[in-house]
Amino acid sequence: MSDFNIDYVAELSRIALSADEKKKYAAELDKILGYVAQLNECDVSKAEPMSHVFDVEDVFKEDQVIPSEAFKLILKHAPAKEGTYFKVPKIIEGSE
Amino acid sequence: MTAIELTLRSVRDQLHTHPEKITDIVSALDQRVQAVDGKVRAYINYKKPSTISPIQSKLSLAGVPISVKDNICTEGWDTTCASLILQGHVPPYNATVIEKLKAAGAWVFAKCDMDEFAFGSSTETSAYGRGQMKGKAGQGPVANPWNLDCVPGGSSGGSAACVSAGTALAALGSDTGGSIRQPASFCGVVGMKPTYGRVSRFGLIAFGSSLDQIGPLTRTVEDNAILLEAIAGYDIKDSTSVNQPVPTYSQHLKKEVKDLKIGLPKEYFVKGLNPEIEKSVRAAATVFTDLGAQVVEIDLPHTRFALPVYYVVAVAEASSNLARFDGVEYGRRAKAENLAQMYFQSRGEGFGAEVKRRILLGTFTLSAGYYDAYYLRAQKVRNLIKQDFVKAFEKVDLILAPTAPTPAFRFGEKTSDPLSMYLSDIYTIPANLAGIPAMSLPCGFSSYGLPIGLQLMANYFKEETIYRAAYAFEQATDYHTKRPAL
Repeated sequence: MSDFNIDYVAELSRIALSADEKKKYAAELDKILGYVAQLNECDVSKAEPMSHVFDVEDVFKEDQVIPSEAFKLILKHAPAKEGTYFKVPKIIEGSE
Repeated sequence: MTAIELTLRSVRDQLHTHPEKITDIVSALDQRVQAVDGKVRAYINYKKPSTISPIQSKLSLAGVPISVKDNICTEGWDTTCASLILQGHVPPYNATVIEKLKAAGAWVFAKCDMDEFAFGSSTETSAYGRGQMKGKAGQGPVANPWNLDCVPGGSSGGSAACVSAGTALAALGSDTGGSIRQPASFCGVVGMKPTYGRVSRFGLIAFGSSLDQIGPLTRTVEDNAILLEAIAGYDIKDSTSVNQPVPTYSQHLKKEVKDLKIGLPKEYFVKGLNPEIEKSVRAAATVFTDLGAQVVEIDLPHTRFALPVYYVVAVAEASSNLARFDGVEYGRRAKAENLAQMYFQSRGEGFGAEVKRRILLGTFTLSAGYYDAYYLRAQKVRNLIKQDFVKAFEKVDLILAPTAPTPAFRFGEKTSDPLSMYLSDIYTIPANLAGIPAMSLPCGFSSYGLPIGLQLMANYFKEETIYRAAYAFEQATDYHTKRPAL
């Protein structure tokens, strides 16, 4: 795969990679994609894509108020919080 | 009382009549953990309970301790997927399988090491095994109890190793492309991947959502049946779980296979299959013939495409599922100036090499311009693989095959070449792609004394047929009575 662009894919994946990592993964993924390319040898002209093992139906539930402590427990393990919110670094650049 | 000689069944029966014996059982298990887990390193989270109260109850698993893979959410216990990015993560809820175990009277005994996010076939990708995280009895990756220089298989390597080593009565694992069956074969235990949808995935940290199933690892077929019937069933919290009654599998075990027709797929006995494994698996087929079953050769013509399909579909789903680990709500967060940098750094630092590799691959195959060539095409081939099985099960009741192409390999033997590692799942992946149930059970040993696994696959929801045949085979052979020396 000559068109596999590691910088672009790392950007889409939101993963910071070092220069060495980029070199390593580009080579490895190229090899794996070469292996995967044998799928082109399979005649799929009459095949439908399979998205699920069984036909799945939407599951609907009545809205019900159930007491839950989950939000307190969830915040307990937040990397950073303020009040009942998760706190993150600045999203929009610019003056305060 | 020696922990390794106990079975889930024997403990359950003892506790029914003598609930106070729970103290002896927990002590026996603890002694075994203290004696061998420093060498096997199956557990990343084990502490002997300080108080154990006997439970007077007729519940099916009253008082029984179970070990659980670390990608299954346990309220109050760390659940890390053996990844730095989930270090210190304590889920605020239990997976449905844990609630079901509790409802049956069982309790979580320990959390088992695994490949990071279940990505791997040797348990060497664990952040604990790599020494990035602490919590193990010894230094290093999970070892195979039959040969401490070899891997236990993966990704449920800790679950298979603790059952094999006798530090657990039974364990839960998860199987996306063979992650229960391949380690079961490497460690000489019984491992079942149920039909897709048979067991709720709620609270199982997702890898490949269309492939993942939780299942039991045990030392006997009967124990396996007992554990599966406790955890199986419809769950409103998992819309892909199937609303069908759960048979009492353990009540249907009998040494009777005369009515069964068993298929040997010729595509599974090809170049790359270790000759000793071929010999053992073919000998197993003869055992079934001797027991009165009819064994015939069958075709599964699209088998060779299963591995390439898997490395498109599974990694695509994985890249999407792992987008949630971004350092915002839980887990590890890297220091950063702004939000975008926080995402990139948290994921760059928190994920190990195999996880990054799969996220990158999955992101690429789903990216604009490549979706049709990879993902869509793979899903079409996947359907052809499924149709192979549908046609085969019009003719046969079971498919008999090797579980893995080789016995357990040595540490480091395959870590430098991802493709060679992926090939160790070549015989287990098709069952996940099709969604059918499949089991690995012991059927022999290599000349180096390493266990060999036999795989039995059945049609959708025919776990009963697998259990019946596996039980008949087990009772006719003595492989399940062998224990590692340790």
